[in-house]
Amino acid sequence: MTRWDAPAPGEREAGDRTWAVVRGAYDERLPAPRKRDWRVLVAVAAGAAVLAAALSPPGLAVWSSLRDAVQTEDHLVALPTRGRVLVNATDGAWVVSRDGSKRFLSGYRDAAWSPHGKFIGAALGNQLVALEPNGKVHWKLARRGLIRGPHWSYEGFRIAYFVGGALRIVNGDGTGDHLLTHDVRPGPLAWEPGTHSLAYVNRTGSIAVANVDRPRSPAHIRTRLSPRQLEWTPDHRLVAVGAKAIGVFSRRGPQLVRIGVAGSISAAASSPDGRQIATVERRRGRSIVAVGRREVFKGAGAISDLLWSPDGRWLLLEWPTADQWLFVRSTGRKLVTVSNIRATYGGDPSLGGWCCP
Amino acid sequence: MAGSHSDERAWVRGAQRGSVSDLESLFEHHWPRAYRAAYLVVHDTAAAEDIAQEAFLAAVRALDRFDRRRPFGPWLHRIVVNRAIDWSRARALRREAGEAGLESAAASPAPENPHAESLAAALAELSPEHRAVIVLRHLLEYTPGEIAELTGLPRGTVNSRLRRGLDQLAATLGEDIR
Repeated sequence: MTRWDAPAPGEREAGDRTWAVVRGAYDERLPAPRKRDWRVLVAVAAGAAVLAAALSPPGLAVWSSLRDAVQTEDHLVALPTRGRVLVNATDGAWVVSRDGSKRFLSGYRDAAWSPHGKFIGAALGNQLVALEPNGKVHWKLARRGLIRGPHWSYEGFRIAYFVGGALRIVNGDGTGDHLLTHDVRPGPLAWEPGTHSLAYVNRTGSIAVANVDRPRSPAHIRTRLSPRQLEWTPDHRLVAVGAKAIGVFSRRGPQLVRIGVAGSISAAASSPDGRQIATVERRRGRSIVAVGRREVFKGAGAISDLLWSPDGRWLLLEWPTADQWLFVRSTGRKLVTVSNIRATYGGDPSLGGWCCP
Repeated sequence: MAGSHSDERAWVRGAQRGSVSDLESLFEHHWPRAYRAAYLVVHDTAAAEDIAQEAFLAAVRALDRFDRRRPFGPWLHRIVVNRAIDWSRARALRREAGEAGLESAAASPAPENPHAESLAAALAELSPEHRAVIVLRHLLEYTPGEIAELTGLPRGTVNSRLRRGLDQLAATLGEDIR
């Protein structure tokens, strides 16, 4: 009797509305205290004491940051979930695969994933280069001046990048390079999903949103945030990260939400589904990592960057003070620390992206 | 239904530990049937949404106390069906008091599936109690014994309501329904 399985009128729309309500109620609920197994707790505490003694300044931070499960690795053995991570270091870029293997792309800077992870856009001196993760170069484009910050559009058909003080656009196959604007502060860029609209920060500090295929005046969103990072969510809200607050804007500009912090924000990123924002707040010499309002990690010193895993289950934190990477479950219930980051990738490594399998 | 009991247990466990994705899996798995069950009993989209939503909110509120050894579905469906019966009874009382005109103002959207709509319309002719047992049996696929347990009715009452309800449905739709 298949008619029993037919959708009822309004089923999907009601489901979307209800999920938003249920999700809100879930975020607000206070979980009941869980019963702890004291034997496990004692074992974890003993392990933590050894760890803290072995790693003096970072060890202190690790001690303060223990959760239900802590796993430590001297070097990265494997990523905890699918995808590949790009690392930008002084001498070049690294592609870190799920199995922990690493490929060095010598001399490249500011490497960024194409949307499906098939290509990397990177700067090599005054050249913009599109290459495969195995190092095979597809095309190069030379410009007068240092190239910085290439950024792929949602389907990979456009790349925005900075050269000198200008923002330029090139097609994903290296053709059609053109100037978009000089009225830009080199820094954050964000392509709106499903469009060729690009958000950037202009010289006055406002956010500008321009359709790069239709040369006309961009829309402006006035804000005092001085955004250091811009991101679009899948439902076309724009997240702007400033030093003291995060603003969430509707597509046409009104600020929907403002999230202020007591300290300063050193990094933030919205989850792949756009439903949560992870933040790193620096306060009184400590870095506090939170997903929404839930604190998932706290450590001494600076945590400079964070990435979401493609499946939204893990956060990767760059913790230069401890010379470590931390993989933290977005629920805060599991932690994997990886040490010797500078020795592995060279001086001053930064996270370039965690992309698709 | 896709999704085994072990999947469901894992989703409940994950949701209890704070995993939004597990909560979402649980929601996506159970929403369609919870909403359809409510709709087939109340025959009103707004009320169905409210009823199914209330059931999920009750689930979230009780999540930490939920015993994972028990299946989640029957627990949710019991809430949905009982609230739907209560709503239908209340509407019947309002109708007697002269509020029937409101129904046309809150008419359901155009049917997406005419066969399903005719079934819903035929069900609407039955009493809420008869609708509920038929929905539990044929949409949610519980056995009469399970329905008795869910609703707190004697097994014989469940069987007789099923029989009478199906006979009336068959007469309305002009076909045999089992």
